[in-house]
Amino acid sequence: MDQTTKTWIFDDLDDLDDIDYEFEQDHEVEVVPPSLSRLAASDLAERTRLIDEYVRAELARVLRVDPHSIDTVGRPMNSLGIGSISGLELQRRMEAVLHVDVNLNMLLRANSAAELVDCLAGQLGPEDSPHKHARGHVVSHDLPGTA
Amino acid sequence: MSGDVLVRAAPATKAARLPRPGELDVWLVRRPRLDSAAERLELTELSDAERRRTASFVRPTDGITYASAHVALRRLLGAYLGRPPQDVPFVREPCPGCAEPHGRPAVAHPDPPLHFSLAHSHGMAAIAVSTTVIGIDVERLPRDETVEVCTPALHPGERQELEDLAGDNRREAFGQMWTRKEAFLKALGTGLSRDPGQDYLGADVRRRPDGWTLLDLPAGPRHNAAVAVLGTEAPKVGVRWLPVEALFAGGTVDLGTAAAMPAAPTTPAASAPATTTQGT
Repeated sequence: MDQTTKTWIFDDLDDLDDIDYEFEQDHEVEVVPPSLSRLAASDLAERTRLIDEYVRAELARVLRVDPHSIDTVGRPMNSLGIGSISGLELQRRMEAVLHVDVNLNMLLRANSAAELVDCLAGQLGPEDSPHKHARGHVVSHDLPGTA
Repeated sequence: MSGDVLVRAAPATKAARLPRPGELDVWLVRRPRLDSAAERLELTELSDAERRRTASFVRPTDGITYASAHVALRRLLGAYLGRPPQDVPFVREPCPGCAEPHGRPAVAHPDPPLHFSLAHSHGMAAIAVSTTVIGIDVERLPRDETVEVCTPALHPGERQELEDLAGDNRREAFGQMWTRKEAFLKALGTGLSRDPGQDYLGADVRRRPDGWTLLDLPAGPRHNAAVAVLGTEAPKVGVRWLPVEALFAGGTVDLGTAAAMPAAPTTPAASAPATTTQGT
């Protein structure tokens, strides 16, 4: 991209500082991933709580906001501010920590972060779960050769 | 390629004024200032679903960007079709995977078809309008750590190009590559249900998908933008800013008389950006 052109189109606009607001709200978030062995040993309720805490922290890191400000229940992912690049970042971070495949397109279309948490909690426990069988879910276990 | 028309459009009140074949109009939109946006944006032209969506964003800036993008889209398409903004007949094309009507958004104007594509990100929106299949994307420049985490998901050729870069050049290259990729996947109709690592959308024009033209767009110092156009013949591209007043109550869109400018020629090694003019 030609840098002169990139700058020129803003030259006659006097509120560049205003748009810089978008870039100054960065909130550093430290994410402490849950251990897979603890997740596997927990019952569904505890596993859901641990994954909710983790997903909330990852969302906050990607979105650069306070984890407590994340509404995991009532809003779709794009209303939280997750776009394609941030969705890809979230997908890859969760896959690396939890060793599951996360479907990017379905992650972006999830009705809420809680939907994602429920899928992950179902996948990562010893119990039988519809999330381990049905096609078209947000997450699935790693298959040989797909990690 | 308009697909099945799902609603019957009301008659136009003015003559339609579509882009000519081989022309591509690109409109860049910035959201209004935060301190006055809620009062000045003409939200009454949006549908109930669009207003609900505007209110659903956690960050008010995201909601204002979304509303700005959709007010602009309705007013622009209304101007092209000769209809009031609130009467633009949006439809969904058939999904390329299952043929159900949840594919690419379109308008019910089948002869000739009017294609559009909309993208928005962090204070900016981009709208492409043409009589051929198109896809557009705009994204805020990614952070270094985002590039680091996301690069392994890309095509091997794209990864190789990024490995040769560092710092701001790497962020810029990733952002441009990704906007080309998402523009292409939107034009294809699959979106990100298609693996982002499947197609090469790097700097080497010769390696990009056959049958498509990819153009980098100027989008200011904070964003990248690109557009994908079906066909190998580069369209005549006019890139214009939509004045912010066009988003306000009483504002109107003037499609302008500025001649569309030829797309910047692409070289085998890299694509040059299209040029930009201020809208009227």
